Amino acid sequence: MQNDEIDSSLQPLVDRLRELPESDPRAVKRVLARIRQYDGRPNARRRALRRYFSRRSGWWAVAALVLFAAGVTLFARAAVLSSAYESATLIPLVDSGGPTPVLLAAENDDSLSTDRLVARKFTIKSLDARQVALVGDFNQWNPRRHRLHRDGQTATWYITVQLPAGLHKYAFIVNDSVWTTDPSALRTVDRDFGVTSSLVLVQ
Amino acid sequence: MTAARPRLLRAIPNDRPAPVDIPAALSRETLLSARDGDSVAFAQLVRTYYPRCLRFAQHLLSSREDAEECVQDTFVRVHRALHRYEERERFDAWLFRILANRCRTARRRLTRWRLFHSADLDRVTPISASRVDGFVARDEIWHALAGLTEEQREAFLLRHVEGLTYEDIAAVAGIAVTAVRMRVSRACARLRETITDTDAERRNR
Repeated sequence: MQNDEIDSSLQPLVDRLRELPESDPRAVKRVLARIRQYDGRPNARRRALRRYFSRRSGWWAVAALVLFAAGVTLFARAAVLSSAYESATLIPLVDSGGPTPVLLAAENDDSLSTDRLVARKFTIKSLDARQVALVGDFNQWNPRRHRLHRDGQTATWYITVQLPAGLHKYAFIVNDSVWTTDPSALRTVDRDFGVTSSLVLVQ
Repeated sequence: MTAARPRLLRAIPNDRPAPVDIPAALSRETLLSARDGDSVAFAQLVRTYYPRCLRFAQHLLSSREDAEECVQDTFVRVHRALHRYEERERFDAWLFRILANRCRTARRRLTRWRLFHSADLDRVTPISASRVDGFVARDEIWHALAGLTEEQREAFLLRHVEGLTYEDIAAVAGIAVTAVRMRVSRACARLRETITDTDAERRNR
C-alpha cells in the first residue's frame, strides 16, 4: 500500500470527514438571492456581451457593423460635398471677375478638412450704414458675433475672421435689419429657407 | 469523565449510518443549461454542490459561519464565470479551484483577525480529549486536521474526501502532480501519528 492511500487506521476518520453537513435550505436560497442581486449590475451585462461574442456569429455582427458605419460615413461625406458644389454652381455670377477660380479649385479639392483656421477678410461698401454684421454658418448665423468696422474715408466696412478650411455660406446684415449678400462673391440659395447667401471657399 | 468533556465533543453512536458517498454529479445537460444562463439549472447546480462545498470549507476553516460565507461567495463567482467553464475540465475540479481560492483568502483574513483577538481564540480552540471505542468525535477530527499544514489539509481533503484526481488537485493548487502526492502522503503520515498518539493517550488514562 502506498503511503498516500487510506488504510484501516485512517478509514474511520475519512468516513467521518465524508459525512455531509446538515443542509440548510435557506442557505441555498440565500445564494440564489445574492446572485439575483448581482444580476442587474454591469457585470451581468458584460457577461452577456462576452457570451454573445464568444460565438462566431458575434464577430460577424461586429464586422457587418463596422462595414455599415464606414459606408454611412463615406456616403455622408460625398453627400455633403456634392450638395455644396451643386448649390454653388446653380447660382449665376454677379461679378464674373470674382470668385470663379475659387469654385474650380473647390471641385479639385479633396481635402476640405476643418482642422485648420485661415484668416479671411470680408468687406462691403455702404455709405448709409450705421452698423454692419457678418453672419454665416461659421458663427451659427449670429449677428452679434462679428461686427464689421468702418473705414471712414472709403465708407468700406471690413472684418477679418478665422475660418476653418472648407466652403462657407455667409451674408451681411446692415443696420440690424437688411439682409445683404456680398456683391463680390458667388451667391447661393438656401434650399430650406429660400434665403440667398454668399459663398466663400477657404483653403 | 463525561462531565469533563469539552462542550463541542459529540460522541457518535456505533450504529450510525454508513458514510455518505460523494453525491452524484450534475447531469451534463443541466450543467450546459446553467452555463447558457438558465436560472433553474443554476439553482439545481447550487443545490447539488452546496453540501460538498460546505463540507470542504468547514474542514478547511473550522467554522460553520465562515464556511457558509465562503461557499456563498464561491457560487456568486461561479455564476459570474460559468460561461468560461470548458467541458474538457471536470466541473467539480473547476468549482473546487474557486472554492479553495476563496477559502485561502478567508483564512488569511481570519489569521489577521485572530492576531488582534487572541483571547477569543483561546476560548474556542477545540481540544482532543478522548476517543470513544469505534467512534471518532468531531473534536478529534478538528484536532487531527489542525496538525496538518494548510496545504496538506487542502490536498488531503480534495483527494480522499472530495475524490478528485491528483491531476485535478494539481490544477486547484497550482503545483505539480508529484508535489500534490507528496502533500497527501505527508498528510496521511501525520494523521496516522495523531491517531496513534490519541490511542496511546486513551490507554494511559
